[in-house]
Amino acid sequence: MRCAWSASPLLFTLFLLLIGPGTAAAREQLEAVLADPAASAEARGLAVAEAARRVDAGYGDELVAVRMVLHDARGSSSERAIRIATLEGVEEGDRSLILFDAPRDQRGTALLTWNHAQREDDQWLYLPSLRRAKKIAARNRSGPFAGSEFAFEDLTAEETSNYRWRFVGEVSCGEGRCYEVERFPVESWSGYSRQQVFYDTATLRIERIEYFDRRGDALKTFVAGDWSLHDDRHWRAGYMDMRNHQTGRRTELLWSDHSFGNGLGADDFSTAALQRLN
Amino acid sequence: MRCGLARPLLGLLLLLSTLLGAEGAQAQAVSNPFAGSAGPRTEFDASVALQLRGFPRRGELGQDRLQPSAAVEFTLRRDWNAGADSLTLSPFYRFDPEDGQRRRGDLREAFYSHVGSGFEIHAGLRRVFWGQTESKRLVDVLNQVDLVENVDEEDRLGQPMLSLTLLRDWGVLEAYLLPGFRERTFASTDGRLTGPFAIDEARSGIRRVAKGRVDWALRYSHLIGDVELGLSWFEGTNREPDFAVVGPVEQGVPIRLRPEYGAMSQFGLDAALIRGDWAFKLEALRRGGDAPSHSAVVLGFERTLVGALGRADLGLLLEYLFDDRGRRTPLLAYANDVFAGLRIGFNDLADSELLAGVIVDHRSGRQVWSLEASTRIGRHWRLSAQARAFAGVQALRAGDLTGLLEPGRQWGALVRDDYLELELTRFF
Repeated sequence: MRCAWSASPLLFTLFLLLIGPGTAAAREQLEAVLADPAASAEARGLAVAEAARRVDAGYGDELVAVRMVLHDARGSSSERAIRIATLEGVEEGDRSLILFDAPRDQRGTALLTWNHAQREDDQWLYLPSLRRAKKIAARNRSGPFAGSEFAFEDLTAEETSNYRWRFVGEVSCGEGRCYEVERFPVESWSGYSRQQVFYDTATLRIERIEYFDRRGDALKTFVAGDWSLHDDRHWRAGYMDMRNHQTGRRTELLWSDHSFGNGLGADDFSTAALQRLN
Repeated sequence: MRCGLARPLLGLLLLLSTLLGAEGAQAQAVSNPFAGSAGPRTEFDASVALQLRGFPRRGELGQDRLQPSAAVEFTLRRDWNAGADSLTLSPFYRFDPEDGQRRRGDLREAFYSHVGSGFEIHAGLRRVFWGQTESKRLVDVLNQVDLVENVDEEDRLGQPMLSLTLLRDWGVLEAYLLPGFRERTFASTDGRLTGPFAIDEARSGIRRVAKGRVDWALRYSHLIGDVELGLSWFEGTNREPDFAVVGPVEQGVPIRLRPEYGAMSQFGLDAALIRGDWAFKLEALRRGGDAPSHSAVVLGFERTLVGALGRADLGLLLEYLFDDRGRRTPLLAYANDVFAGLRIGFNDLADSELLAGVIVDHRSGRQVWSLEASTRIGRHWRLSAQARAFAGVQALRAGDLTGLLEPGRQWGALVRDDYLELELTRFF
């Protein structure tokens, strides 16, 4: 769900000055692939995903606070407050740390994830009452995260190699235009058969995702909004909504207090670091 | 001779700190990713718990079938220097109208931490967890077991320590100096679970071999490919006491036991390997000292089936427990047992969960059943239930010394102490 600032061709020069050549190159490459009539739908789909990832690259690390509001089908709701720290991977995949602040009985519980592009991710659950960092199966990622409609796999930055991609076309979405791209999880443990992803053509932000379960039936709809721009280049949603069509359950995420480039390092994303979070 | 071992360890600590001073200078030190650059932060947590234990039978020593109690725990944490330095204070108090041994306060933690680039130093009373397996915490020996809280050995007393942790590409190295020894806590004859015993804590003792020295420990852990590996060495006072029978033994009168703590050296190994939805776990130890040396192993797996029960996840656990002391294996250790269990994560709004299992000695048929479940009520309350039952072994009655000395019969002591515990906790 990392999407970043990009520009229409008109803003291209200004964009180059602001962002530097990496982002502009990603954008240029995408336009070239999409303009190439010989490019396959798979190549085009992957190109959109790669470009979206590259325009957001270089954030270094990120801190954010999230309020989750969980609604069940009967109208009951429950809230969770979490904080997330992410370290952008350079050679290895990204690392992330999720810390629970509320409900109070879950306070101090944390989840540490090391993403890997080529092999299974490493993940630890920290149980504060036992002072225990317990290594857990990354397959748990297809289950509900903290009782919400988000699976853990919906919340983490995607490695493009985790999917097969297919470009569908350009469609209107909301006030703007979107690239519609289908992606098919490569991992056998994924809870999905496919996802339809809508990238805003101007910014390459993900605006909407339709999830289909393993039987191929419509399962969930994800919508992002209330966008803000950080450091002139990183777009972040302030609001996310996930509706489960099969159960009637729904989860809202309210994101706040984004901060980038906090000088975090690998030590902060170690099992030892789990013992001293607060 | 043992006394002298603390000195080389101190030397090692000094050498390591010199090394890390040279190595860690260039990187920016951030000790807590969430601390930010804000000034000192103070965090306060508290919980109050009401507990009721119900026993289907009166205790062997005539104790009541109901045991109510209440506990309060605070945690105060203050950090400064962007989280690099911190103080943690965590007092605990339980009031139990029946059992004087459970009417007590304890400092669960009280320590200072400094976190630098690639190293950590902790000084004070702390709790540290080692290990991987679910049915038994075999290699985890730094902290004394707080047995009056729970016989599952999961509750631990704070241990005075000075520790240094090095975080390196080649792994994590921890060195501990452990001045001071804390004795295990036991229920009094007015409380439970006691079996037919009266533990004479006033006369308990640390044997001379274990006296007048500073315990120490080293641990190395690293993620090697898919395998999380831990190697540990502990040199010091055995946290597990032996018991000596004191005073005259009479039929119908509780056997008085005096806990005695000897010296031990322990090598521990723990490992976990995750493959798909399988988690394989292993713990093993070799322990020497003034008691005859012995080895013990726990190994097994947990398989997690996501969405196996609709929204809920199902975990299946199977572990084998071995101890080469065989029929001389003491209570709460397992010589030749199989643990089978299941875990359910309900993935509901209340974060409900359940863990149930049984440890069976397949030769004698002795079983230890356990059930733990909890759910949140409203926003601030949590309701927990815990049950334990001991079956498949002949009850050991008060004054039955012959029975006690019979190998494999010790578990009979707990047969009348099956219980169900309900706890309601308010979090602040």
